[in-house]
Amino acid sequence: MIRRVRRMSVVMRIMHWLLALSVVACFVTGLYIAKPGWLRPTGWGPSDALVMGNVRFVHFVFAMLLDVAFLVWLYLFFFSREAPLVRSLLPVGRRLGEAVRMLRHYFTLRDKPPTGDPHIDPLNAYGFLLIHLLVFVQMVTGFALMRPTFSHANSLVPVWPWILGKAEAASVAVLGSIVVVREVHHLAAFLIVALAMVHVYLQIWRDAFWTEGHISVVVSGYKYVEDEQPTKPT
Amino acid sequence: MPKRPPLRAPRSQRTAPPLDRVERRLDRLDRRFGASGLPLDELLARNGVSRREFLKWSSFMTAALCLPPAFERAVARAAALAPRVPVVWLHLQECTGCTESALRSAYPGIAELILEYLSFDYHETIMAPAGHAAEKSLEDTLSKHRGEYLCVMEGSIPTAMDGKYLRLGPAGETGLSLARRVAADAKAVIAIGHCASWGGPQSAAPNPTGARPVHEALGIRTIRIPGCPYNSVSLVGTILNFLLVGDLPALADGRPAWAYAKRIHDTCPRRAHFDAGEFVEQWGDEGAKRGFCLYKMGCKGPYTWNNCNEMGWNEAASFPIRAGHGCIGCSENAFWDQMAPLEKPLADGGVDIPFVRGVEGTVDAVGWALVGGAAAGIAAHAAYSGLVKGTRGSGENREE
Repeated sequence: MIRRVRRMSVVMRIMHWLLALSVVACFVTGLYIAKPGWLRPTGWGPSDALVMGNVRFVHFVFAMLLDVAFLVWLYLFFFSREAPLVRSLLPVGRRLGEAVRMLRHYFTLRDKPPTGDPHIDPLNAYGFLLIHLLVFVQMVTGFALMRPTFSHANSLVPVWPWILGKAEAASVAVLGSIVVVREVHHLAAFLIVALAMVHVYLQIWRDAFWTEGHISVVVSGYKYVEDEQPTKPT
Repeated sequence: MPKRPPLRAPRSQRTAPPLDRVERRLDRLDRRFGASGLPLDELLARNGVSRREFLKWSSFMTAALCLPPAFERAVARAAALAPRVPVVWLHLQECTGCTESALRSAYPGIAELILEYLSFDYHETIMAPAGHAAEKSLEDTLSKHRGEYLCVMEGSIPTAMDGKYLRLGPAGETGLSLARRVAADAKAVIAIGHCASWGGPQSAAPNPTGARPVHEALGIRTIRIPGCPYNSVSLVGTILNFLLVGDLPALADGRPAWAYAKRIHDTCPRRAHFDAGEFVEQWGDEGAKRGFCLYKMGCKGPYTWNNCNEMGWNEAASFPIRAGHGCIGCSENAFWDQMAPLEKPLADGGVDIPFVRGVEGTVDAVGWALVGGAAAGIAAHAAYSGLVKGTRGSGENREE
């Protein structure tokens, strides 16, 4: 019998797509900001072009959305009514065992772990944790890089420069200098994109090989499992 | 670890010092040092600087030091006193470029003149005595003006092999020992240039001589005036500040905040071209002729705090970015290690991969390798999955 399993609440789905959109937008604009090779204003004369200005604006807006998505995720991580992600990570010992089992399945294609659980599987959960930790790194280093252009004069909320100042002090204290902060910000972006690629591939792979409608999880919130009797062939 | 400038100066430093206290202090200094050295009026007249030019300069320095206009007279008085305060200038592990920069300008401004005629009781480059006579004048200053002289240190201090990489004077004293001795009784120690402030190129990896900036080598507090070379306005301003309030100026990252709290990138004359997306693509191209932004030519203005944009060099005639070359970040810690190659943007800069020292790629290359590796892994896994599914038959997954 095929059973419907609720996997993601509507807030989680919205945050997921917000995160996905922001990561893509920030990565593309970030590449331009780091090395502005394309999008050149035409002509040599005086112009009102504001290419870098606009690209940075888009970068900042999506970075803010990303930060909001991160903070909502952080809240849901502990306090979600439906499925706090922290439950997929604790107790660490058993969850790590389950994650390793899933990893083994990906490489041997045998012994598929049970997938009827409404919670996210631990391997995915650890992956999401890593991505969100990297988003946090981007948030702090990004604030640090933003600090010099930001002052009391142009901030709407007085606490804002204080936050940026703390972010800068913390990241410079950990990494040594603003140059290294900048490099870490750059490298972490690539790491997030690499992890996102693996994530997208795995969801497609699961949908194709498990035929449980995994892609549907992030659209409708549901997936479909066949309630099977645990028979062990071979 | 270096600290960035705070968003605001501490409350105690946010307001100007009381003017009457400053005046009383200057009276006291006048009584103590007024008779020694050359009167500034005479010095300026001899160099063809009119009283009017001097007053204009005083207003400029007052504004630069973030003081209200009422302080102009006090600043002028302090400037007149400046050449009379005893200064001991030590040359350590350095190239003397900072001294040259201050003393050899073709048309010295008032700042340069004040520097030139500072009462250098000991300055190895310009003092007349040599050998034991020079050593004696140093000892005289140390004993006569104990606790009153300013100590300016130019150059880093090699600490490896007990400082034996640097020996100075007829007795062959190590730089480490000399610096320690002079700093002990100084009113304040000013570290001049990148070497004294941050260590300079000689402290770049692998740093065979163990070169350290003054504050690290001696474990003392210094006022850092970094730059390669430093801007003479920054040194004169710091000395004036000392004369006015007798204390350290508000510091940002150990540097006088009035000179180093602004980022080059934010006050850059080419900033509009950065925001427009108009960049110099190669030296001498049309963009270079039109003064476009030098970001893609490796300008490190976005990571550098200094006052080049406002003060300029050579009587405010120009500075590197205005002249057409990007900033190399010479006032920042470890710029030699971290900002190289100096004519390439940081995205093309070398990156040391942690724990794999010596392996070096560009930041971009490492990033794309990560993404490429992920893509290759995905392709391999997809092919493997398809293959296994083909050989085991499509039924297996459903059976599990």
